[in-house]
Amino acid sequence: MFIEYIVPIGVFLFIGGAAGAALTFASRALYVETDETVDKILNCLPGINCGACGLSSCEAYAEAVKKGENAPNMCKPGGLETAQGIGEVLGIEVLPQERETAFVHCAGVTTEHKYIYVGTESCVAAGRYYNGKGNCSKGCLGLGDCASVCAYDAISFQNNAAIIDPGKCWACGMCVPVCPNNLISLRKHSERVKVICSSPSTLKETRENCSHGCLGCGACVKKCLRDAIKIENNCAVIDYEICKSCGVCAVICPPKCIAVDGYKRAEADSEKKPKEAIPVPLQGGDY
Amino acid sequence: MAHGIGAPCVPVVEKGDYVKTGQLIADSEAFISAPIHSSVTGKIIEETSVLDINGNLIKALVIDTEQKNYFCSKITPPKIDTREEFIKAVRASGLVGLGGAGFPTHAKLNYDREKYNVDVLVVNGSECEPYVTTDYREIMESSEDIIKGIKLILEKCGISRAVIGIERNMPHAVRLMRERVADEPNITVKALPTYYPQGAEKVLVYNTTRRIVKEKQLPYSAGCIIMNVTSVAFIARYMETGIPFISRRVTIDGNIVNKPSNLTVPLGMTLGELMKKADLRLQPDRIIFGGPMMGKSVYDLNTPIGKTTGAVLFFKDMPEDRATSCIRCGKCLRACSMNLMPTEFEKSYEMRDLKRLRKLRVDLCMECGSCSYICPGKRNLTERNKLAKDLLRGS
Repeated sequence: MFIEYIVPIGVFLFIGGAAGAALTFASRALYVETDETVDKILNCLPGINCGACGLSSCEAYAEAVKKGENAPNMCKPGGLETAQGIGEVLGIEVLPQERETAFVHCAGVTTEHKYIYVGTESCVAAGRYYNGKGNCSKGCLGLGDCASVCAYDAISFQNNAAIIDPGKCWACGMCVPVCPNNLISLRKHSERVKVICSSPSTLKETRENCSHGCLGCGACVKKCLRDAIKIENNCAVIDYEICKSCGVCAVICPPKCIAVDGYKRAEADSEKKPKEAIPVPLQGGDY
Repeated sequence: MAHGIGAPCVPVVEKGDYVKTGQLIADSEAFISAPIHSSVTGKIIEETSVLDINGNLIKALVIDTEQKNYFCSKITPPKIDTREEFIKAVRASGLVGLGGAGFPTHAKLNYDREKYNVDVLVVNGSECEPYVTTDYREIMESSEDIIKGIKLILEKCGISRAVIGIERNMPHAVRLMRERVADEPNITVKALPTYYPQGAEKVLVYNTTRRIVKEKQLPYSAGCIIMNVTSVAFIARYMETGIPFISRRVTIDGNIVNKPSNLTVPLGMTLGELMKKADLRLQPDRIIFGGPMMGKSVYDLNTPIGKTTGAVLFFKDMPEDRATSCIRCGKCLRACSMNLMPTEFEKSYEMRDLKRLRKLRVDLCMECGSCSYICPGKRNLTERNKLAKDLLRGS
């Protein structure tokens, strides 16, 4: 009785007590002092470690803000709430940056495919074979390298081309460098007019390959009321410092490759699918 | 205007010109570049651009061919005495390495004699890939030219001996070459074990001479110079006739080819024309330029046969391989001829871990395709290796 029950209980109680004492001692002796301000800032941050601020984690950013190395309004996913929170902690007024969204500069409506691709489901790999299966060598390859890095599940595919849901996108910028054709850029919400093509090919080639490709015809340059558009590399480029989002260019563009507030995808096979306009939040953003 | 490695050539003839077979049509001032000669007789009707097998647009001249071939009157056997003249003549012939990469032969022969003490000429008679049998046919058909070519190179470049490496699965070729070299004291024939990639430079040097070519070094550093049997035989023929490099042997094979064969094809012939000659049972759904391991799929029937195209394979209804998970069996590790770790490359590539990729030496991978072939999970390991190499190069 004594050996069978009392001794084991005693042994375990002793081990437990000793371990508890050791842990208590360790936590006192090896205590690392944390900065209260950093903790408070960290509480304001969304804690998703997206990297949009340029640092590896939210903690690193909180420390950088405390030390004054980084501006307190760099957290894009946090938006207004985070900015105000950090402002309260630091006792200063912090204005949030304008919300941005990633945008794919390709309508994804190349007319036909050159070959049937059976390789790895990766844009970089597919791009090695004759610059992808689409006729346009600079267009979206549609195999989802960007979607695979998106932490917010904001990228979906229509017509084999990536499309970004502005409601879900927090402009962390993870998708920008992975696109082998450099089609994705971060755009502020006030920059409402966008060119949905970035192909440098000539007018003849673009016309053959894509119904929505920028021809570099220059019609938008002539009609622009503020001279905000230039043709660079056979493709229209908008200077957002000047552009006031009037939308004249979008109306007169012959291939309809300039759009205001998103654009209608699925025009290539419009008979099968209902046309869907992407909801773009109003100017100023709904934080 | 670009065949294999080297600067692309610039046309020396214009649209509307009438060219004869063997006439120089394009040249470049760069040394590492081989001139291009017309393979047919006819009128140049267009200067256009075609896709090469790497997906780059290259300049091309379209020649409207006539029924008959007239050889250019300028074709005369070159006169050679010294090494310089020999190398100059090889450059004028337009020859590039026919093993696969297409490095211009004259540049290969023009090594720095003071820096490297080259004493062995390794003649590559082992096929670079399965299906391809061009080297075998060359040995069987023109063994005398091979011997003549070897003797010429040995004499002009001052190399003391030559080794011909032939795989053991071609016993006829081994026997024939052994007979031919019986009274040549400084040429030996070595039967090599049959495995892929026996035709790879470093593997071949090791198996014929037991010398090791260190990483990032050329075979010169091990005292070797490597040439394909076809290149060697061509040099002998060129020195006798003066006909430049205008046609090459191409293996036609695949699961829908009625009669697998080796055809001598004029350079610049398009894939579409070749398909008409190829005697196919069905319409192919996959066409590969080069061997099945390292070759590239092509889709455009206007793709021209280049100086480095050793085979054209036609397939239909290939089994569709779905990649499954890695089961860590380690078969790829054993298959790798460079003793690398393809599974680890794959994982590190997915993580974009450049430091680890560098440590694993992905840059040593020669993309032979053995790991993808052996993988029971049908994973595209070689492709990941290529992507990882690109990633490292880009960073």
